[in-house]
Amino acid sequence: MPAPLRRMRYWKTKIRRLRNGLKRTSPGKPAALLFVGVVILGAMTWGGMRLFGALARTGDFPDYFRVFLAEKIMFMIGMVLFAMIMLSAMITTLSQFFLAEDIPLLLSTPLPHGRLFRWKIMDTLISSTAMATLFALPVLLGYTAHFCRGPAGIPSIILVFSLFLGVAALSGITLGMLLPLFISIRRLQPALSVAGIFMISGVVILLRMAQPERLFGTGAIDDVIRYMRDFDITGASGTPFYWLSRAMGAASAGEWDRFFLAAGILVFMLAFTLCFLFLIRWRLYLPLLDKVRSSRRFSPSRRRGSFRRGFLHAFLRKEILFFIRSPDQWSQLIIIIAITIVFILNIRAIPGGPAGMGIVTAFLNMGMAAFVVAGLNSRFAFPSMPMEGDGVIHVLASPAPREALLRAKMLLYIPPQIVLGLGIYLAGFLILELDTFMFWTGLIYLLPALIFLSLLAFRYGLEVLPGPNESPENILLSRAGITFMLFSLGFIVFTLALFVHPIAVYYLRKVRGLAPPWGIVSAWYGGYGIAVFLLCVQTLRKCHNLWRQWGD
Amino acid sequence: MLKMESVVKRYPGRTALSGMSLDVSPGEIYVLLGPNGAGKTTTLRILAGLTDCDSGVIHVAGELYRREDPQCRRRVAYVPDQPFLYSRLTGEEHAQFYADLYGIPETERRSRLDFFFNHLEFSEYRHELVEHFSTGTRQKLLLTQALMVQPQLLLLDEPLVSVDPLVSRKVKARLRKEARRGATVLFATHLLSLAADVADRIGIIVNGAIQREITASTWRSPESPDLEEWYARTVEAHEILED
Repeated sequence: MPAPLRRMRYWKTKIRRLRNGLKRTSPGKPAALLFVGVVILGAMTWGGMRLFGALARTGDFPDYFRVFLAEKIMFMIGMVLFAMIMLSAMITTLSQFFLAEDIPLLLSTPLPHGRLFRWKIMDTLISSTAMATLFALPVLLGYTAHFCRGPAGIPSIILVFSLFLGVAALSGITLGMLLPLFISIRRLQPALSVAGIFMISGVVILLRMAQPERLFGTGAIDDVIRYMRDFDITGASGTPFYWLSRAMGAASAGEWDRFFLAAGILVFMLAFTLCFLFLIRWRLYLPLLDKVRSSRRFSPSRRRGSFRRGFLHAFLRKEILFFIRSPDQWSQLIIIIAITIVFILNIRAIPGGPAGMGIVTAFLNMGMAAFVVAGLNSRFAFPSMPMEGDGVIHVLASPAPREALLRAKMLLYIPPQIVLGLGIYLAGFLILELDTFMFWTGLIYLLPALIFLSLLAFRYGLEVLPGPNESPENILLSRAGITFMLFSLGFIVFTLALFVHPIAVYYLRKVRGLAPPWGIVSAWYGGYGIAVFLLCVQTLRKCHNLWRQWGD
Repeated sequence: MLKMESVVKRYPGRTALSGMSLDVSPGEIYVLLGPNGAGKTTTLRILAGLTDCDSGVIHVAGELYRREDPQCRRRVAYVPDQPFLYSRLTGEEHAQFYADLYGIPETERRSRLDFFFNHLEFSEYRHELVEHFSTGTRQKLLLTQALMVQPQLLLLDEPLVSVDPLVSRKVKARLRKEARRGATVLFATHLLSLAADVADRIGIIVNGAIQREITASTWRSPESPDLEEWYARTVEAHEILED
């Protein structure tokens, strides 16, 4: 077979695997994902266009200052992108070069190792930059639409951005190749995933704490400059994102000397990283691969566990061990904590408005707490039963009562989620300094709603039969997962709407100096409580019925 | 010890068991042989409580077997044909978890675990995550679990397919020991040599029912045809009848 055709084989197989993976999913799923992706990208493009459009049209700012601001924004975006791509490339390198299932197969064939190495680099490069590029597109579109000058503008921006992507990904690949020298890969990969999530959460909190609303609150250049100065970092001139923003700024200003200098530095960085990578290829890669393949020992704990008897204890212990050893699951908690911090900071940043503003905010906060718990349920409680996988056969065939496993899972997942949901509401409540009526309203709404949402997650989760190596994401995108999400969304919106009437009546009468309408309030709240209680009972019964059918 | 009477199990579009009857004594090793889809695994799954039969009666240790009753399932241990395990537990944690489900006291389980991890030659995997186990090591863990709970009825579905010959020999010896302890061993396999090695009695199952039972003395007698011949005759005879 001619060499170019042989080269195509790898990619052909890769595409075939992707296609087969798509075939295995239900036909509506790719379309639904595409639709969601287009909506998100559309919204981001709209935001990017608005941001750079507003910047370009601000009358107070001179031209050079607009370009300076756009350059600073691109610096920040470049910084986040660089960190994301580098980390993603490091993680992908570990799996592509060392842990991938096809490595032993490909190495055992007459395929030249150099070609395998190049394929893997290309593969890692594409997979680690694809997502970042996709999400950077709206920003680039906004920037080029408002800051590009002349016919050379767009190609020059595409050129420097491509160079930047290459430097970021190749730096990540190089680091990914060096790290196994010092740390075991099997420990490193989950650790890096978690580090990535920590980093992204940190960036989000940092950006929020910098209070970008200050930009919109003033028209003064001084405030904006002070704000931008917060992002000046010592030593930034050695980084690719600094030169990306410089090149883009120069292209916008039409200063081509400055542009070519910045682009040249990016080319140099790319060439240097590539040379270094190929230099370490033979000295490191194959010996390291041997080390990884031969070192299969992994000792999470040598502590002799003191197992006490009791099914519930056994199941709880198993669940906790599973949770600790699934970084892809528990790292989500870090994201949720970051979102909660940003959310609380946002409540604090709400400007003082009319008297009813706090009540409306607290009311919406009830819904927000319910949404967060529904989100947690979709990630944790919903896939927890299907994720038992084929191992559940031992539970089903054991003398343990069938209900014990379900009970253990409910015990593990429901109370912490209720505490978190109520915590979010109470944090908002304390910041807004509201009266006891809103406190009790929130409690009466949330407690039954959160229990119901969790039970609903288990009920739909039990509809997904366990299979080998199922990921939470795949389970969630099943028919039952989408039904659960839609159902919980509908439930939150509907029940929130039910609370509008009693709250409005209570505060209107209060404003008019009339006695509180306790009759109306009790009737509505009581009716809600009874209805949700009945729903909970029904859902719990359904859970037990579905669980009993497992294994049949 | 184990008595199945006219057990029927239907799946949508096919009948897995069509009046299966079986009587196995305590201390006996009974091997189920049969073509693919004959009903061997379904029989074991019903006895393990993984699925219910549509009709028929099962008695284990003289008591009516009901899958909902934990006491009934406590008497039974099952080794599935596929090495299904929880991948994110270590070998020891998995076996401990299994022992918890059977309520094995801490003092006893420790010595049994030590014994089986050494006996089946995989103690170096004791503290390693199951997801890194080979198929053979997974099967060793499944066997360890089932043997350590000392069940009255031991159900094994192709448990030695990926196990190396030396360990396989140890397992066979262990099964004989279990039988001497009084346990009933019900074994499903395609390997005639394995069946011939361990079985006291063999049941050839075709289309969801036992078509022929042969005792060890029969196939070991010099005048009798060998096991392969018995198997072929039974299955072919049934196919001719079907036609």
